[in-house]
Amino acid sequence: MRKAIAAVVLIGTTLLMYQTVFAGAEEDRLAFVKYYKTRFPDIPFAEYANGIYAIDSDARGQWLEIEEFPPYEFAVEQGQEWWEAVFENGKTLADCFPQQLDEIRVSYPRLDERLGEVVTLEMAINQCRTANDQPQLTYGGDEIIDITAFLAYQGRGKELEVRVPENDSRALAAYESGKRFYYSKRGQLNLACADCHVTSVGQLVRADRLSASLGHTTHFPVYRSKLGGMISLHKRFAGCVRDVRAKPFALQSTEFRNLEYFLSYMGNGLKVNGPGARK
Amino acid sequence: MRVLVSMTAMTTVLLLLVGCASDFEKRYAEAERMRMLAADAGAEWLQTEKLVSQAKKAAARGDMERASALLEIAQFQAETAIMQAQHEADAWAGRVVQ
Ligand code: HEC
Repeated sequence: MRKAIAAVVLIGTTLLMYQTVFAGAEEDRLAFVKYYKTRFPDIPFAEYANGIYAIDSDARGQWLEIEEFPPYEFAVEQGQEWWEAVFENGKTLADCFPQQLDEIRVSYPRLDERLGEVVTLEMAINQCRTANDQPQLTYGGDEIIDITAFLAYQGRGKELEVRVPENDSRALAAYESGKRFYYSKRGQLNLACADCHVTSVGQLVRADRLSASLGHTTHFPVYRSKLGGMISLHKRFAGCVRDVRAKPFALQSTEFRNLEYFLSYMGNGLKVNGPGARK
Repeated sequence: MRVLVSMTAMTTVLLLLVGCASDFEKRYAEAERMRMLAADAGAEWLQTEKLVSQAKKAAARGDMERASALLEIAQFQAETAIMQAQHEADAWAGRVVQ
């Protein structure tokens, strides 16, 4: 009898695990949105694009003041110059992107059919440079961040619409790997992203209140006043990984690209409002 | 006679040092191996690599006590990180927002 019970429990938990792991991306997203809706019934969905300022009304005033003289404006202007710069072969970055200028930002991250990997906007820019015999830009360097700042600015108001094609096993695997990363505890502090940005959302960690992960990708790159400069989304990922005292992955590593894919999908339906300004 | 005693003492100290050093090399290699396994699992902790390299530097200076203490921490971190990854292989799924 005991064995029978054990067997039933085992099969039950296995089924449950199977379901949690392989639940569709859209199901995940709806649950994610609902979680925050339950935690903060008064915050409208669209507000999550504003990160912590959706939740922290004290900090919000200061932020709105900063936004009156946006500290990222310089990056956007520089980015436009880089965007329009003509390569030796007479082409520009724009020639690599078939989309309208304001559609480019929301076209990434995406699963590249040919590569079978997640391609981010930064990576697409470097692919374009390679195709035009230009050296790759260093991820985290000013030039590539400024270009993404310009494209985010141009893409403002467009809704995130990341796709995880259900008939593409590579897309599903990339999404699952990002999701797994997000929910896995790591580092000496043994914390998962979700421990802070889901379970403890809105609470104080030292001087910072924790933002929701819903909308985490809409406003990057971001000007950080603390650092006096722009940072990419992956640089932020690296910062949070470091904060739990785990070794961060490289910018644009497979791990971080898959994480971006998952988090961006969670934010589908929110509008791009980058570049952003943060403490 | 005195010469003999002091020579024996010196040899003993020398042998001990050599012994420590080769023991250190073994433990160093093992800590590095574990750190690499943790890295392969995507679970390496922030300071482990630094601890291992500081241990190596301490050993090079002949400070075997410090070298040994640092290696011990590095080894512990790498092993714990691997256990953490093994545990997370299933545990993460239980945290997914439903
Ligand atoms: C120890 C708690 C903690 C953990 C764990 C953590 N973060 Fe953070 N994170 C913070 C804090 C604090 C901030 C700054 C305040 C804010 O915006 O939430 C932040 C900010 C961010 C931001 C920027 C938000 C914005 O609007 O600019 C992103 C993106 C982010 N975290 C992603 C992650 C990811 C991905 C993980 C998992 C790898 C993670 N975080 C793990 C504490 C944490």
